[in-house]
Amino acid sequence: MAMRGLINRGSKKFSRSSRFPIAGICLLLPLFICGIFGPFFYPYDPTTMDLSRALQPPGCMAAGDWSYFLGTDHLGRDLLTRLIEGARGSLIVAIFGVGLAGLVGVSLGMLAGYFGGIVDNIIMRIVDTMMSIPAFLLAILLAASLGSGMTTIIFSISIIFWTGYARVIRGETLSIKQREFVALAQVTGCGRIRILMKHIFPNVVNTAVVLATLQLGSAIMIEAALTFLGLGLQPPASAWGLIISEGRMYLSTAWWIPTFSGLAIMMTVLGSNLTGDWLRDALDPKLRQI
Amino acid sequence: MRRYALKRIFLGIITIIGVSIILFVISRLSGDVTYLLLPEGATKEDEVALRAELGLDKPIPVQFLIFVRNVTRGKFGDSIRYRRPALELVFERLPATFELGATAFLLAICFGLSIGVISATQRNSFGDMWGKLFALIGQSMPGFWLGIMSILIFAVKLNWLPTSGRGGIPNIILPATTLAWYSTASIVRLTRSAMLEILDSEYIKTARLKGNREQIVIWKHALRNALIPVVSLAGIQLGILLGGVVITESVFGWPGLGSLILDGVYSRDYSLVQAGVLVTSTIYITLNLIVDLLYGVIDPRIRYS
Repeated sequence: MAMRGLINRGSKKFSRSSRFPIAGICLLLPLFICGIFGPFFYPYDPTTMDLSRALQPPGCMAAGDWSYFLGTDHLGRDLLTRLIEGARGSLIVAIFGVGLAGLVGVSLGMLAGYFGGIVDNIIMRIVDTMMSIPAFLLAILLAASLGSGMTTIIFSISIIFWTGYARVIRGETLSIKQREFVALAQVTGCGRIRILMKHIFPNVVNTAVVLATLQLGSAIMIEAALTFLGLGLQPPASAWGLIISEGRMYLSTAWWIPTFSGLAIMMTVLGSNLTGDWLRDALDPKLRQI
Repeated sequence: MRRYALKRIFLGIITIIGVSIILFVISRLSGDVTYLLLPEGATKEDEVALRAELGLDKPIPVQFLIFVRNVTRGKFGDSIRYRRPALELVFERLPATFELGATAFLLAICFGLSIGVISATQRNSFGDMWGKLFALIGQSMPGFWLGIMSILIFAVKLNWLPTSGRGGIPNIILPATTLAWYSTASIVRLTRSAMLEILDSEYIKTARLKGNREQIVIWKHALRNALIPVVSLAGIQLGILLGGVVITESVFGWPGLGSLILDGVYSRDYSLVQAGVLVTSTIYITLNLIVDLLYGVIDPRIRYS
């Protein structure tokens, strides 16, 4: 317990908790805007191929053309357009994956914390066991069993992330359970489900939101890694991981293809980390060891 | 201490059994397991024979017991692609992965702790700024992208290091650094925040008042206490390293267990994938057990609770 206090106060000095996370939000916003409104921003049609314009360098370079701001890929498609299109796949996978994980994890965590006893034991044993398989290996195993594609990735991501929610929310529920208003609710004859929904859930939702924001970045990284390996989103769907894996073959000749797509991923994950850190400090300082 | 150790070992064994249950469930998730285990061009008779051999015509609980019996005997079936027992192939590739993983882990601990301590003790200096930046960016960079970029810069453009393959020290530098990057950043972050807090505490002030040199205060007194949460984090990072090893081995052509599992996935060689994942999980559980025991050694409060 003393250790937890140490980490709490140390982290406060590390992240600038008082300032609004302008940097974080600015980095995350492109993902959401491009993911939702992408088609309005396409400089070119993402599917049009023009082999005569293949592998053109970005506009800033000497051999480049400003009309292709970030250059073109091996099929002559504009890279910037493909990056904007790729945001959509990543956004859908991240939101649904993390959302599903949160739904399952928060519910099971609350049940485990509130009911205790054998329910708690069973759920926590399952959590411990699932956390004993390295997350990425679990994702690969699921891809091997269920095949690749968007549904499998969303399912894999939710399976990887739900355990984190369950553990943390269980701890929160255990401490909230001790508080007076819960005892009063029980005394007045509230049903157990009602207590969970009306009293416990609103108090754990902050924690869940912080976790979700932090996990958004991790989900995007896992999706990109799976797609890079060919186990995630498949062509013709556009995804940042796919662009990097295609660009791998042209590493020495067209460095801009893997570089800019990787930067897109990195900036989005950075945004998610910065925003999640700020949210954590603002909403629930007890979480600083996450 | 003995009771604590025995309890942890028992829990570890239960967890390994649990992992095999999960593997069994996942293998049945896709519906027809025979499809996963049949080689290309198999006939209808092959399918029926395999089904009988695997006991798939029996009820699920019996199937599970057969699975457990096979696992305890080390029988994961033969790899379809290599036509040899899957477990044998897994153990063949293990040393390469161990070499990569252990190097990455050592790099992460050494650099993570050093940069974290320096960042904490020289707050708001140039070194601190770089430490914080490294921690933030390091946790946001996808491993496979870092690997590709480092190949581009160090192997292709500068020609300092080889692009891929296993060999001597030049071959291991890029893969180990790529693998260690994320974990190093996490350790820097945690060490820095733990040290910052500890350095303000009463017992450190007392150590200084006693006349100890600053170096002794930092490295002997403060860091020792900061190690407690870091040891806990190190356990979690082992899991991330064991998962990340798949990507790193793929990017750098390192012939280890990770690339074997990936090969198995590509060629739908399910026995190989299952064997690989179970062995890796067992290693992870064992390493976590060691971390738990170490935790009990470092922090007496844990083993007496």
